[in-house]
Amino acid sequence: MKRLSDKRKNWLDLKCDQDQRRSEQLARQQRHPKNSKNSLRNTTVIVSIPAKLVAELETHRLKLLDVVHQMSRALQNPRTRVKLDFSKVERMFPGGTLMLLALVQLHVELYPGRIKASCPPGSLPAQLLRHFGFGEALGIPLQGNSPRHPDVINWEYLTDEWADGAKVSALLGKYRELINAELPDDLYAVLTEGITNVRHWAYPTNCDVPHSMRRWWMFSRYVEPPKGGLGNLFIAIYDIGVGIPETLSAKLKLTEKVVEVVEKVTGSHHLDKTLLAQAVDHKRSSTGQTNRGKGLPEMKEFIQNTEGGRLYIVSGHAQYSCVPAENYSGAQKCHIAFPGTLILWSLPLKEKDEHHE
Amino acid sequence: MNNFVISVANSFSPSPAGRHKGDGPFPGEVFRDSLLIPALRSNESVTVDFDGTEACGSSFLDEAFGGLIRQGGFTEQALRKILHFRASRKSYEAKVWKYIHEAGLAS
Repeated sequence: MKRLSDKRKNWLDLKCDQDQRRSEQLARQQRHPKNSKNSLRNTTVIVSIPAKLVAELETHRLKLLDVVHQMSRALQNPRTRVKLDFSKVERMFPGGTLMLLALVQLHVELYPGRIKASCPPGSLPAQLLRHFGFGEALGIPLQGNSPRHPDVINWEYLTDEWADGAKVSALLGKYRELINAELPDDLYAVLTEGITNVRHWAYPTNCDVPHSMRRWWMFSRYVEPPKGGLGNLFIAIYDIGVGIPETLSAKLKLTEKVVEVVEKVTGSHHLDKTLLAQAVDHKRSSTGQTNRGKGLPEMKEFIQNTEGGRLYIVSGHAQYSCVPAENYSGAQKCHIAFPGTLILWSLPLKEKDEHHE
Repeated sequence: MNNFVISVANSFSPSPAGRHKGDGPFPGEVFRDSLLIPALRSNESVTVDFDGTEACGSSFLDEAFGGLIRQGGFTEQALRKILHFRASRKSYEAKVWKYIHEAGLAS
């Protein structure tokens, strides 16, 4: 007969103890099912935030959407609280971070007091959550987490219901003072077009989003250059509205209406890709009026004129990418519906032209 | 000929944005109705000075200037005689006249 090792014996003893405790617990529940402590106790569901918060790559975006779904499902039970675990987060990019925090804010609004976050003390996620003003609501203490890391303080955060140009101007002004590089000239124009579009289209009167959350969120992040190089500015605008394809669906041609009905049955969603591409290429607008629908084409033109720039627009079941340096612009279908609309710019900066100063 | 100058930055906002009154504090519709149309109706020549403003988006420009045709009752021909621009961004004037022209075609 084979002799048990001490390690194996200890494991077996532990297992027996666990099984016995479980049996006793079940027996208690069967004796007193209505008064079982478990049925009255709040439960906490821990939702783990993925290592990389990226929204413009579908594989990473799906992980973020899964976090949101887990949170939503757990909160359906009134006795459940949610703890968002940021301990595995390694990289936070503007698009993914913005999308996640805006949706968390929506859930905090809908389920007050039932969502908390846990972060390793002093970690980048903890500092960022405090920096963006989410610390109090999510239970991240200020002590030890005050924003100080360059990767944190170079992030800026804005949110509003209105298309207030002064806020955008103030944000760009900070970067103009901070960095010795030139911001693209039309950057203010495309950002204000983005927030104006949210104001006009994202939240129709009958949409389900609470009035206090019918807003836009904006993150920006300046990445300092390695020695000798120029930095990069990343800016993201997000809304949790109905999405661009949905706003265009009011003006579908007859053939497109047929396609829409068929796609609702088959779940194929190719129409979203077509609608988004046409909106960006200015082949159609929500109103059908020729003087409208210029905002998205303006954004595409801007990125085509910004050397090394990239533009990503994610909405509905579609993503539009414009990367002029790779001679690529076009829409792809997304398998999972994206809540709202995310627009993300990546802008390599260039040296200030001293002659114009 | 009297020339009336409207400095967008000083008389309106250095950071105008949006199209309609409800969009935000300084949208194109408000600029057009409160400053631009009264000036065009009272003066032989009006110069809109964009220096000191951020680069305005298409919603603001189209509503402010294209709206002169759609809502203000002006014609492109009339505006060409009385409306002028001053801007360090050379693309501004071309953009605005494009919006005015398109509004004229659509009306």
